[in-house]
Amino acid sequence: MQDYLQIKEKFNSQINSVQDLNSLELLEQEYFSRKAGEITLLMRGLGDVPEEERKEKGQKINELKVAMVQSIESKRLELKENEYKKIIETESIDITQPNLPKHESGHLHPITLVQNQLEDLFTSMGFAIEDGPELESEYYNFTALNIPETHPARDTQDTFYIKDHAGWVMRTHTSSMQVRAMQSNDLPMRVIMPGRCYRNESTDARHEHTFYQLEGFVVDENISFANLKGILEVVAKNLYGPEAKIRLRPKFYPFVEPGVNGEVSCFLCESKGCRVCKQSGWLEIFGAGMIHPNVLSAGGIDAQKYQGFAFGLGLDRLVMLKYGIEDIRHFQGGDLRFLKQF
Amino acid sequence: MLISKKWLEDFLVLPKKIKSEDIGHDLTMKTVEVEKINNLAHSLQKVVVGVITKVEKHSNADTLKVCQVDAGKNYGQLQIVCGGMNLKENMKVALALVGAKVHWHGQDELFELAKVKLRGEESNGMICASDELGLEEMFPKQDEKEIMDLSYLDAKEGVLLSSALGLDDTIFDIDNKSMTHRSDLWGHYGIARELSAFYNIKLKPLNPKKISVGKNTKLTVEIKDSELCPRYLGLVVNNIKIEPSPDWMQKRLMAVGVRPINNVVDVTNYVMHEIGQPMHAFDAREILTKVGTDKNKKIVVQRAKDGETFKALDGKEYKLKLTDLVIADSQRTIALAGIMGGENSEIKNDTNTIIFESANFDAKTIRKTSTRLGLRTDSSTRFEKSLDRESAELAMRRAVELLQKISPDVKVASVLVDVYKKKLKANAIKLGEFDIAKKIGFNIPKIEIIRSLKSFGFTVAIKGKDLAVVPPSWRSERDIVSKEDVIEEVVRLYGYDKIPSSLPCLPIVVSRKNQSRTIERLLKNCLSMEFGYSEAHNYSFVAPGMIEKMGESTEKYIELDNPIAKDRPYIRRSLLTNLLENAEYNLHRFESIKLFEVGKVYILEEDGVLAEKGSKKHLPAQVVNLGVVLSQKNNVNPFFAMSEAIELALNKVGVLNIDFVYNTKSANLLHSGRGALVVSNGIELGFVGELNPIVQDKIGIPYRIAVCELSVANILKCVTEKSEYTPLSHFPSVERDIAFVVDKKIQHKDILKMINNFHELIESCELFDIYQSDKIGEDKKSMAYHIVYRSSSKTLEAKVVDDIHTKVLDSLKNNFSADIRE
Repeated sequence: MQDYLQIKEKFNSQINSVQDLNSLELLEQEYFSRKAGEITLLMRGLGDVPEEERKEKGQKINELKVAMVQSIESKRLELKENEYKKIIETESIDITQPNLPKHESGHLHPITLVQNQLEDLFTSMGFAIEDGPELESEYYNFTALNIPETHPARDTQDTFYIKDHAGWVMRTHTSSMQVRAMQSNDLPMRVIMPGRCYRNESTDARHEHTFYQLEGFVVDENISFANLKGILEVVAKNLYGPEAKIRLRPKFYPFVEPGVNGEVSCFLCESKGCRVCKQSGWLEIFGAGMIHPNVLSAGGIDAQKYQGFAFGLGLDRLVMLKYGIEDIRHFQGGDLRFLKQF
Repeated sequence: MLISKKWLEDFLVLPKKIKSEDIGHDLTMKTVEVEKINNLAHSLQKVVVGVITKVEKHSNADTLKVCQVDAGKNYGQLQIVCGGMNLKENMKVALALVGAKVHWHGQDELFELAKVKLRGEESNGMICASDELGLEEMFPKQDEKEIMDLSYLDAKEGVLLSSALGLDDTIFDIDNKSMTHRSDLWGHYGIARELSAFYNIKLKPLNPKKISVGKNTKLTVEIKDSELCPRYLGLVVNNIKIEPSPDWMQKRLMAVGVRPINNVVDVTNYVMHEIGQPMHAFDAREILTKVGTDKNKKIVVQRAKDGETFKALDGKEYKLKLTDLVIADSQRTIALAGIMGGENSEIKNDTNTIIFESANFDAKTIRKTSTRLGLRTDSSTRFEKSLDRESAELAMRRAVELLQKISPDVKVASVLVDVYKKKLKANAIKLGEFDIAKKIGFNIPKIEIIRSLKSFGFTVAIKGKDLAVVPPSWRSERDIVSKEDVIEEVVRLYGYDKIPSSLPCLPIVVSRKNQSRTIERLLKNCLSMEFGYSEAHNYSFVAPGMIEKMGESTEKYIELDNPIAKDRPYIRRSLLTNLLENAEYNLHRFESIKLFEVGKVYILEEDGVLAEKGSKKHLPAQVVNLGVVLSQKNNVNPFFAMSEAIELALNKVGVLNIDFVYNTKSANLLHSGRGALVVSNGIELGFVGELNPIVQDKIGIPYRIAVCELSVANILKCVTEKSEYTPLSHFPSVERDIAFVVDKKIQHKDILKMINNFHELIESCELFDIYQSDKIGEDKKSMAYHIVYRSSSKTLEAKVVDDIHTKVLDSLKNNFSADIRE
């Protein structure tokens, strides 16, 4: 029993002075190692104890063992906690610092972003998307659209012509796709035709010889001007939120009759008048109208029976307004300082 | 075009409650766009007429003068310091008083004048140059330091400049482009007619008195081609004294931006701005006749002789063509019809007899000539819109009436010659209430329809359920020809804002899928969002210099006939032409550039879509490509970064089996040892590779650059929807690494294929290291692969794996002469 008490006393004083996990490990070994641990030896020595004492002694040793294990474990827990505390303190970082080296993310072109948004809107309403030639015949770009040879749009200052190929032009509008799309779709038709257009104009901050439009039309027996207004309102609200309003005023385009110019309430000043809307409260963003019967006929559609509307949005302008871009030439300047902002 | 509110008020009485802003708004919403409303009196507040009574040198400044200016009773004598070079005593000037707002030295912003001392001399306002008051168009400056000389004005000192100049008016600036189809709106009367319809107020008739003709002179007019000149009126007027027109007429003209010249010319301009009909006045003394008697005059309307030269009023000589229309006397051309008169028959100060011309010319002919010669005048701008041939006579009567009013002594010397061979008869257009409702989606009451059409001058007859509508002469030429045209008139007057909107009712249809667009978008998203590339958009036009630098000739390129940028006349055949320029440009600022573009390229020698349905002619092929460039400082071998991105992006869109095959086709463009064709299932998608260092050097790109160009149409052919899946195995894998040295020419693709196909228990094989060094030999490379063995039905024993692995090593030795490293 002497051993037993001595061990207990020694252990208790030792464990109180343990400062780290290593010393605790050594202490544990000292008493519990399989080969020479003091408790192990004590247990082993039980065989030599007379039968009548053995049970009691065994019990005592076991109680001691359980108590020791318990205090070792609680010491270990305490030491670990201290240690983690220290780790966490020393490992603390400046969480506002960026990852180094920096990950370079990519960027879609702003025209693509707005075009995608509109394509998604129109396809959700059952419109098909058509793509077509940018180098177009005069027939589809002009003649089929009821644009006679004397119309100013045919003057050389507006249209790019192709050398040695009379009758070829760079399309001046996506309306060139109207008759093509009529010829390849089934009635009733609802189609959008986004794409690039070209005008032979000198460029400055507001004018560009290459630009983007999104054209669309709907044709059926009873498609009306009121429907045109309805669709344009949907577009305006999609782009500028539920409060957006539209306003139509007469505008002449040879391929629509009546023809209108569409404006949307200025989202920057809520129609109060600002620099961007030139104090008018309205932003001009589309041209539209009821498709001219001559155009329907060119598209192989019975103009007596069917009617429809067409509209064209200037994408560059939409994007410039959305982000406040000051110079239209940035779009095709290929400058990463510009492209990385979107 | 400028429209004066006062002038409009000649023809209608506008109720007080209708403000200028309302007129501007309503014109914009119903007829044509009013770009600006300019209240001249408002902007010229506190600017008066002054008379300089004394000019003295400034004692402290060589360029300045000290003037005493009489500003009338209310303002008295004022001392003004001024730098004008044309200051004289007794000169009438525009005097801006303290508090006036001026454009200081012609700048855009307004500046409010205050009492100041200029180098010690007090100055109580400013003697203005025209650009300081925004009047530079009315008073063009000959010299930078020239002030406005108003000595010709009757106005007394102290009178407001705006009223002295007749500028106490409101001017509507109308966008010319918005009325190309409305020839009737090119004069005040046409605009007044619109307003009378808007506000339902009476339009005063414009019906000048009949001309009482004379018989002293005989005038004959011959029209050789009545298609080009449907009508021509000529009239000889004599006893004319050329002098300035009266104040009121000058003010009217100046208010709409026309410089007064003399009574005769001012009358023709006045009529043009009132009725929209251009006129011309010839000096009749200069009109030659065959007979040679002064009493007989002959005018011929004919085509120009090919190659003849004509000196116009602007003093310039023009070379004419057979397609041009001219006015001639019996011997010479005296005017370019509808565009400009000739110097040989110009009105001079001593002109005493004139011939007034009021005619109708073919719009297309005028347009073609004026465009070709670059000679656009107020007259040609109107004629090319197809004028009402009836208005020619109206204008003649008005001109005579006005001239007699301002110069009562003038006499009409001839009969009114009116050669009118081509009358236009407008057909009735039939339409019903229902037609309008169907087109508009809204019912406008019949009574309203009739009222609006009548107010625009249409004749409306009720024929049963329908209306028979005949447009007035001023809308019949090219403007109103169909039912739709009539409907527009009704609706715009009714108001587009009053038509309630509704969405179309259409059956639910799954719209036709645009596969190409889907693929384009996936590729764009994948390259930008996954691999950090930025999307560029570039012009379709490229420079010959770039084409040559890329080792190509311009022969195959489609060329613009009229390029805007003379240095970029060609249309691209590759997206890389511009992307490489982008790369060069951006590498001045960035150490790493990753760019792509999706766009069309134009291939002349391949057929595209038809030029017209049913024709056999094709447009050139225009295919959508994906172009990619990548260059990074310190990356001497960017090929792999590019090929990896391309392969994974293609996988994402559903192209699964991709091979890179040595590319000998693009040897000029690509580094011949680092270029590959991208192939899937035998279809060539395009190429990827590092740019040929020679090309890189020519373009001036500082680092190695990888490029890629793929055809979206070909990608589309290879797209399959992924529909495979391997169940997760329940059994552990055994993994082994091998490393060996082989000849540099041995391709990874072949090794991989051999190992993968070697045994069914080989689940996967991956290259994890590769290096080259002198130690292992210049033409050798060391490769290391990680092989995973696994069975789907049991746990593999090490011995089984070891057996297979040994055989793999043997096979590597035998097939590739691999030197296995232990």
